[in-house]
Amino acid sequence: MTQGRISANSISVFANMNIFIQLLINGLIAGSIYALVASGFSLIYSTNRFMHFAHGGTITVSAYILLTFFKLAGLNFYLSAILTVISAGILGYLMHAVLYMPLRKRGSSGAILLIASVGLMILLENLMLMIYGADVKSLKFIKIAKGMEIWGAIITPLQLVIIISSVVLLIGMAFFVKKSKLGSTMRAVADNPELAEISGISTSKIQGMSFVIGSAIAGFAAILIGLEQNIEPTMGLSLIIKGFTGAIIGGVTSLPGSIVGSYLLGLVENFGIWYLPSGYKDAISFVLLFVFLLWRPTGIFGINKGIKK
Amino acid sequence: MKNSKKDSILKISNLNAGYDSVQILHDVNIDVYPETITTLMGPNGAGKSTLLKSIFNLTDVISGEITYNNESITNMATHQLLKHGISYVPQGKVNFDTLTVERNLLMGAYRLKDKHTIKDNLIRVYDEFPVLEKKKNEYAFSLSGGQQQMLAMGRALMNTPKLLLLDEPSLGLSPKLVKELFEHIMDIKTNFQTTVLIVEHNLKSALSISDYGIVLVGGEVKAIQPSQDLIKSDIIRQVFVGSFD
Repeated sequence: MTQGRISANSISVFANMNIFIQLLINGLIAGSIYALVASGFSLIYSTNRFMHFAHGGTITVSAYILLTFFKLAGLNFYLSAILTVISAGILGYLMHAVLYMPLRKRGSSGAILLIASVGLMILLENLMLMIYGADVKSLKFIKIAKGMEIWGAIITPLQLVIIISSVVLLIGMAFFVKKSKLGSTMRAVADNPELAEISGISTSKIQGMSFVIGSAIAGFAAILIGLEQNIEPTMGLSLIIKGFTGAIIGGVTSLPGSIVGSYLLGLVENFGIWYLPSGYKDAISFVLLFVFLLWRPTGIFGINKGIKK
Repeated sequence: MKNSKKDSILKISNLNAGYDSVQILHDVNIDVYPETITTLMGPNGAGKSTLLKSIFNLTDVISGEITYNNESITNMATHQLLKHGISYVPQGKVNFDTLTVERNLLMGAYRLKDKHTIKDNLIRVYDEFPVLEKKKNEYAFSLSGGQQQMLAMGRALMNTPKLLLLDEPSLGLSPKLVKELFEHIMDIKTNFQTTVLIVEHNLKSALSISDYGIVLVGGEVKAIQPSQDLIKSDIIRQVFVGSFD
C-alpha cells in the first residue's frame, strides 16, 4: 500500500486534504480486509464461545489453495476462487469436527479450546511451510495497474474491488444474521445454548454451520489478500491479530459490531501514521485494543443487558 | 374424579434418576391425565425440578421408564420430544435475552415447518399474552419479570404442546402477578387443549387451579391425590410445616 507520502516543504491546505483522502482510502482498504477476518472470527466465536485463533491459519491455507488451483493446476482464476471459498468452508468444518468437537465432548473449557486453536494455527503455518517452502509467492493475476487519482489520492482498481466487494459481502452477512432463520438460530445459540437445545435446536450443528460460513468468508478474504499482497506461511498471524482486535473493539458477539470495529481500526491505524512513523501502525492498534479491553470490554456494539459483569 | 377412568398421557414407573452418580429420585411412580393440571409439590431439594427434567431427558436415568401416550420416551432426544408435543419451560424466566420478543417466540416453533401453523400459533400466543404483541420488537432482556415469564411460556406454546412442563413459573413474581399467571395457566389448559405439569411452591394457588397434586419428599412420592382431597388432608401440613419425619 502507498502511504506516508508527506513531503516536508509542501504542507499546504491542499496537500493536507490529499493526505487526508489518501489515508482515508488506505484505512478503508485495511478496514475491509480486517472486517472480513473479524466477521468470520466473530461468527464462530459467538456460537462456539471460544477464541478460534486458527482462523488466521484458514486464511493462510486458503491463499495457498488458491495458488495451487490457479498457478499450479492452471485453472481459470474465477473457478479457482470459487473452489477456494468452498475448500475454506470444508476446512473450517473439519477443524470443528475433528479437533474441537472431540475436545468439547470431553468437557474442555474455553481456555483449552483456545490453546488447541493456537496449536492448530502453528500446525497449519508449518504445514504450508513444509509443502510450499518459505519463499514468498505471488499470484500475478492482475497486471500492476497504474492507480487512479481521486481527489489527489491514489487507488488501484484492485483496491477499489477490495473495498466494494467487502462492503457488499459484509452488508449481506449482517442481513443474513439479522433476518434469516439460520442467522437468528445462530444468534439464539450464541445467546443461550442450553435454552436453544431444549427448543429443539442442535447446537453442535449450528456451531458447525458457523465454522463453515465463517471459514468461507476467510477464504474470500484470502483471495483478496492474495491478489493485493504476497502469499507466505506466516501471513495469517498478523491478520488474525488485527481481525481479533477489530472484533473486540466492535463487540465480539455482534457481527455488525465487529465490522464497524474493524473499519475503525483500519482508519485509526492509517490516520495514526500522519503523526507517527508508519512502523508504529501495530502499536497504535494494540493501544486501541488495550483501551477497549480496559474501559469498554463489551465493545462498541456489545449489549451488556444492563448487568455489570 | 372425572378423569380417573381415562388413560394417562404420561406415566412414570419405578423411575430412579439423578445427575452422574448422585441419585435424586427413588422409585417414582406417577400418572398424569390428559387435559388436567397436575402440581408437583415438596420441600426444597425434594427432586421436583429433577423429575420434570427427567421427563425432558435432562438428567441421567438409572432405571425405570417414562411413557407418553403409551410410547416409551425414556432417553429420547430433545427434538424428538418436541415433535411428540412436549414442551418444557425451565425455572427462572429463561429467554434468548438478546433476541426480540417475536424472534424468541419463533424459536419456540423451530421444529415446525409449516408457515401457516407458525403464524396461527403466534396469533394464539399473542391472544393469550397481548403484552407480548405490544413489545414484539423489543429485546427480551428489557421486559419486566412477569413479562419474561410470559414470554418463556409463550415460546413453549409455539410448539403446540400436548404436555407442558412448567418449572416454578411464579418464582420471583409479585402476588398480583402470581394470581395473573395462574389465570393464564388455566386459560392455556382450555384454549390450547394441553396437559400441564407444574412445579410450584405457591401451594394454595397451585392447588386451587390444579386437578391433581403430587407431594414429593426426599426424591420419593409421598402422596398423589386429587387436589381437593389433598387440600383437606394432613399431609400438606406435615410436609410443609416440618412435622414430617
